Order: sequence, then structure tokens, then C-alpha cells
Amino acid sequence: MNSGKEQNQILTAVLVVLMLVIPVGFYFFNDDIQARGKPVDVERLQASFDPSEIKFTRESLLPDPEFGQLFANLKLLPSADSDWLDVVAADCRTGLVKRLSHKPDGGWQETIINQDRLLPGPGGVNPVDFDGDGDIDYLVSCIGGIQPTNDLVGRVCLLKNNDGVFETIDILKNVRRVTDAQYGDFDSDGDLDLVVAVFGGLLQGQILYLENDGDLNFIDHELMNISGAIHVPVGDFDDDGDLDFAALVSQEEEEVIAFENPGDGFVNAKRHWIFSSSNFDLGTAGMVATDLDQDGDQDFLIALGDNLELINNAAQPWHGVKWLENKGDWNFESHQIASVGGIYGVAPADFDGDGDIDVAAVSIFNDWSQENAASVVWLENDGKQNFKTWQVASDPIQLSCVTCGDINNDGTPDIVTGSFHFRRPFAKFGSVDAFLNPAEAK
Amino acid sequence: MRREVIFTVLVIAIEIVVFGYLTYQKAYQLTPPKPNLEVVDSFTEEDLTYFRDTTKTPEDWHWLGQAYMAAGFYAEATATFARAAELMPDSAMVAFDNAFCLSRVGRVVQGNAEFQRAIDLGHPKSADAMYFIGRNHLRNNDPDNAEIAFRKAVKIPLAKFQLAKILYRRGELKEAETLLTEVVRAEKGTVQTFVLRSQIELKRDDVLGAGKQSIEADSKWVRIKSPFGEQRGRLMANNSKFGFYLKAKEAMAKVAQHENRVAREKVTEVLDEEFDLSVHDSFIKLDIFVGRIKEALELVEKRIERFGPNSSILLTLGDVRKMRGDNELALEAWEQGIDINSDIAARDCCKRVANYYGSELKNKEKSLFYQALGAELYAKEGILLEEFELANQQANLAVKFNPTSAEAFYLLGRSELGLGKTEAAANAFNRCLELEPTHGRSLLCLKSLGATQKN
Repeated sequence: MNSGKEQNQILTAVLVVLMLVIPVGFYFFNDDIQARGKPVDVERLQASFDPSEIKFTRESLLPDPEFGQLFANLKLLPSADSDWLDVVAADCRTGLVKRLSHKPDGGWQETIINQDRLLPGPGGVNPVDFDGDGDIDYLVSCIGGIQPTNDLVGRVCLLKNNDGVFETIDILKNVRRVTDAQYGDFDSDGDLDLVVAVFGGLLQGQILYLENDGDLNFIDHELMNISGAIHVPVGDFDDDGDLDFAALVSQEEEEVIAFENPGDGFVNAKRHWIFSSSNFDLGTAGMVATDLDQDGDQDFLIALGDNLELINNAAQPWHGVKWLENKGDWNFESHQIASVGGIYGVAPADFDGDGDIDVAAVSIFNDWSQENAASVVWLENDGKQNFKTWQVASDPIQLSCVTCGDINNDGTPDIVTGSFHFRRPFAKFGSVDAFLNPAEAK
Repeated sequence: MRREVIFTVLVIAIEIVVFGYLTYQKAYQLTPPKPNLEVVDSFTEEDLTYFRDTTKTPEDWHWLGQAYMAAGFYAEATATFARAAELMPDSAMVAFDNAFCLSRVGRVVQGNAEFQRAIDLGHPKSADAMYFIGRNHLRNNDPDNAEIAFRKAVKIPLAKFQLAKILYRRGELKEAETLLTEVVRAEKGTVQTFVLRSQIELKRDDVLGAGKQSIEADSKWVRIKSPFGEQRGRLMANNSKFGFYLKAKEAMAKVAQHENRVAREKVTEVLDEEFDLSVHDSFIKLDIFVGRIKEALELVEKRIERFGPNSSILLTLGDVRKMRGDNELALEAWEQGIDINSDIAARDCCKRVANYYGSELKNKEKSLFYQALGAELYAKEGILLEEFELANQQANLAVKFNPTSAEAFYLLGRSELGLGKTEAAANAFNRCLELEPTHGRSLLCLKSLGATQKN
């Protein structure tokens, strides 16, 4: 009996201990319980696209870099010694303008144009016979440095060709950061004048008209005090026979302002606000003039993708490519023709040889944490200006500029891109790269 | 006895069910998203992995969201904040952070809903939240609703400024000007107000009026205080609480504290992981400080290779070369530093070059030229910072040392203008134009002065 009672007591004691241990144990081990549930859903923007049916082949024009390069602008030029086109590159990092020529035995050769002195952050380059002596000079706009500053570090320089030896001449200095300088005989006096985008520092910038007195002395006229002017493409936008220009203005303005030339330059130019977004964070980054719909007038293509508001950038749903369709009489209608994060450069060309104008675009700020995020795309035109986005490459990443032309002389336009790689991830580096369009794409 | 046993067994059974259920719930609850950490450095990878693995409480979720956002994983951050908001539905702070992050990735409608929730929950920065709602409406191309939001946030001068901008865009120029006057009253001398006034004058085709505002804007540097700036500051502060930027901050602090041995170890550890300009510059300083000049020179050259030349690094290059006794090479670097840029460091390069020519070669003419150039750069800076007395003093020195510099006379004119001496300013601009008839900025200033005197 006693033993049964004892057993019961022991059992009860054990049960009581267990009853106490369970909650106490739970209390103490609660924190160590590892969550094994599914991760919360993450919503992302589309960063990659259908692979291009045209199989472009990548060719690097410079040796593979070990760190980020800072190429801001590219232009194509006929080569002196080859069937291929030369590529002129503005290298913001080294302060050099480089001409890259295809060697007869393959590979590329680099020639430095400004051998006399370094340039402060060359961000734009235009090959042009500026002084009318029959050889190619280079007009260079200099941003001063890639870090934003309010200092007067901008410059416009002419690399003047004296029988193959280039002399650097300052055309404009003592201004804030300059992002573009374009030329034309705006006042019809036989010499080349300039329009200049002084992007500025934080809040001050300008749009300037530089009138050439014929001896490379320029009177600078401020057409507008506005921060964020990036590009100033020139063209006859109203079809009246003289050259006008338009300024793409970013930095919380997000507008395109066209300056109508009355025939004698821009001192008394009429201003037309041809595009104006309420989205002050639109991120306009570049603009080129082209007749996209081939109706005989000049339209504009705008790259949307700038996003430097924080130390780490983010692609936005409104990033991509806009087409400003010229409807005549200074009316332009805007169409979003592609949505791709971080687009910084656009260039038109007929890649598939079907007679309409397609578009190449490069991204600097796509979502690079996604493995296959697109850095180069082309937009196929169906002939009615409806566009399909095709992915050309996801390596290299962080590209700022693009130009198109038949660089290998095979009858189809190729894509040439420039890398501007200064943020994470520090991988997939590029420099100047060509994406060669196979001849059969024609 | 038997009853007691039964009772105890029953309690144990209930405990097992209850705590088992709780354990199951806990073990199978939602986990934080895992970003692609291959795109960041290993310090950040390690810390973010740790934060993620130890996220349990609602507060942990909130912090993880902040850490993801600071590291640039915005998509993961929005998902993490959303979960934190589910777990802490009454937290205004979480709602605000969630809203801010949603706005960063362009999800403006959801962002605004969260900002509104933060306001409703009594967030201490409700006006800021309303300002952000206005900005999001603008991002959504909806200026009408933006206007409503900015009017609600009107105690924030920048909201008032945005309102003025909306009205300017709509062509309501007078109303825009009235608002700008109110902004100026709240935040005097801010650059944006002058720039927008200049644009308003242009819309009225008053080119001279626009030019006048433009000259005023040129000397302004204070910006209207921005709620976004405050949030950016928070984000930067969070960024340096973990990972690479924490290590970088610690390394630079050791350099600043002259704990040279530890500093060297820490700086090397950081730079081995990733090239960072600030840390690299601080390494250069460290090497110079401890007299490791050869190593400092190598670091300077590496920096130029990676980020190109500018006045500041060329100044250092010259200094380091001089320390090594390479005076000619030092001179070359300083001269390049003057030529390549026009910033503060360029002015110091001028000083060095002027001293070089003044003392070593006794080339007085060249020394004066560079002294004048240095004074011009000082004057320029003075004008940009509205320190017109200093600018005037330096511009006077510049014209004294180099009376053929048109730019020096222009700067003298600008400083006189800043001091309200219009006649002296006009004289200086005229002298500038005698020396350089195409000096457009002097022409603009003279035109503007003419218009003022007429008025």
C-alpha cells in the first residue's frame, strides 16, 4: 500500500515538476526558436527583358578594367586607316579625350588627343572643323569633376588641330559645371557659335549662347539662369531654315525648353516650353534630336533614369525612354516608349533593317542586385512607333552613354557604349564596348 | 490522489497544446526577405545576415527595414517595413519609414497612404509627412492634389516654395511671386527663390529683370531647409551603424585621433575590402603625418589613377613631392592643380607656385602673376559666399598684382556691387570690358546696373 502511495506521490511530484518546467522552459527557450517560415513577399520592378533576337556580339575597345571607368560621351568618326569607324571617347576620370581606332590585325589602338594638358572632367565631345581649316578639331565640354560642387570648375575647350598636333584653347571658363556644348552658325555670319549647358552645382546653372566674333573670341549671353541643363541638341525644329536648339533641364525642373532662332542668333530668341513634367523626380538624363517617325521633322528622344538623391540609387517605374513627337508649330507630344530602370543614354538606328527607326538605350542605375538586370537594350519599332524592349546585355553594368553606327562596316548599325561606374556593385566593369550587330540582321 | 494526478496531466496536456501551438506559430512565422548580398562588401554582408537571422520582435523588423534601406536594398526594405507595420499597426514611426521607403522606389500611392497613416497616428513630423505626400502627388503627375498637400504643409517653407513653383508652371506668376516673398521672409537669401524669380521674369519676357535676379542668385548658397535632407541624414547615420561604413568611420576616427598603429591596421582592412575615397584620403594624411612620404606618394598616385586629377589631389601631390625634395615635379603638380580646376585647392596651389617663384627662382613677375591668380580665386569664393568685404579686398589685390586681368576687374566690380557701391562697380566692369570687350558677364552686370539706375 505504502509503496503504491509512494509511487503516486513520486508520479505527482514528477508531473508537477513537468507542469512547471514546460512554461519555464518555453519562457527561456522562446527566444531561441528559429523562424523557418517563408520570407515575406518582395515587390520589384522589372529589371530584365526578353533576350534580343538579334545576337549582338560584345567587343571591348579598351583592355578589361580592374575598377570603374568614367566615360561620359562617345562619338563616331570615319577612320584614316581602316574601313571601321573610329570612336572618340570623353574620359572623365583621366581628363583625356581618346580616339580609338580599329587596327588592321584586329584589336583597337588608343590615341590621346589632348596631349598638351589635362581637361577638368571632359563630359562631352564633338568632332568638328571648328576653325574651317579643313581638319577635325574637337569641341569639349568639361564638368570639372564628378562630385557635385558649386565652384566655378566648368569649362568649354577647343582642341585645335594644328597639322595633327592639338592645342587646348579655353573658350569658356569661370562657370559652374558644364555638361554640353553644341555648335552652329546661329547668327549666319559664317563662323561657328556655341550653345552651352551649364548644369551647375546644386542650384545654380545657366543656358548660354556664345557668339563668335570670328577670331575665337566669344561673347557669352545668358539665355536662362536655371540649374540642371544637361544637353542642348541643335536642329531646325520649326523648319524655317535656321538652327534652333532645345535644352533638357533636370534637377527638379524636368523640362525641355526650346529656343527659337529669329535668324540672327539667340539674343532675342523666343522660348518654348515643349515638355514639362510635374514629376520633379523624373530623372531626365539625356536627350538627342532625331526624326523618329520619319515624317520630316525633328523629334526628341529623352533618357529617364537619373537618381542620385541618396547614397544608393533606386530604379523608378517612370524611368525609361520618352519620345517627344514634333507636331509642328512648337507643339510636342510626349510618349513613354520604354520602361527600364536607370536609363542614361539613348541613340537611334535601324537595327533590324526594316526601314523604321529603332532605339538603343543604356542603363546606369538599373537594379543591379538582380542578376540579369539589363544594361543595354534596344527598342524595336513596329513601324507605327510602338516599341518592344529587347535585352542586349547585362554585363558590363553602369553605362552612361551610347552611340550607334556601322563601326565594322558590315552594313548594319552597331551599338557602342561607355561605362560610368562609380557606385556599387563593383563588378561587371566595362569601359568602351561595342555590341556588333550581325550582318544578317539587315 | 488520483484526482490530483488527472488534474496535473490535464494541465500538462493543455500546456503542451498551448506552448506547442505558440512554438509552431513562432517557428513558422514569416521571415525577413533575403537580399542578394553578393553586391555588397563582406562587412555589410555579415552584419545584414546577422540582423536578418536575429529578427524576431517587431522592433527588429523595423530596424532591419532601416538597415536594408540604408544599404540600398529598397525592395527588401519595403517588404520588411510592411511586415513591421503589420506587427506594429499603431506605430507612427514605422508607418513613416515605410512610406519614405515606398516613395524611394516610386510606389507613390502606397507611400502616400502610409504617410497619411503616420499623420493619423500622430507622427511628430506630420508636416513633413504632408510635404512628402505633396511630392508624391507630383511624382504621380497630379499637381492639383500636390497643391492641396503643400497648402496643408505650408508652415514648411519648402512646401510653400513648391506651391510657388506649381503656380509658376500654371502661369499664375503674381501669386507665385507673393508666395516667394513669404518664403524669403521665412528663409532669407535662399538661392532657389532668386532662381525662380529669374524664371518668372523670363516668362514675362523681362530679360533684364531675369538677369538681375540671376546675378543675385549667383552669390547665394543657402538652400531652403528640406524635410528630405533630414531623412537623408537619418539614412546616412543608419548607414554608418553597421557594415562597411561603420568600419570606415572607425578607421577614420583612429586616424583623426592619431592612434597611428591601430589606424593603419583599420584603414588597411577597410581598403582591402573596397576602395573608398574618404578612407583612402585619410590614409594619405596618416602616411604624411607619420613621415612615410614614399608610401604617401604611392597612395596619391593610386587615387589619381582611380578617380582622376583635381586641384585638391594635385595640391597634395605637389606637397608630397616637395617633401621628397622633388621641387620641379612639385611645381608641375601645383601648376596642373591651378590649370585643371578653379576650386579652393587651386587657390592654395597658386600660393605654393607664387612662393616658389618668389623665393627660389626670384622670378618676381611670375610670382606676382600667381599671387594675382590666387587673389582672384579668393575673390571668386568670397562672391559665391556673399562675403563681399573679403572678395573686395582680394579683388583689389588681384588688380594690383595683375592690372591686365579682365577677370580681376570683373570680380572687383562684382564685389563692389555686393557692397552696394554701384558707381565703383560700373567703373570696374567698364575697365574689364576695355581689357576684354567680349566679357559677357561684365556686359550683363552693366546692363543690369543701367536698368537699376533707370528705375
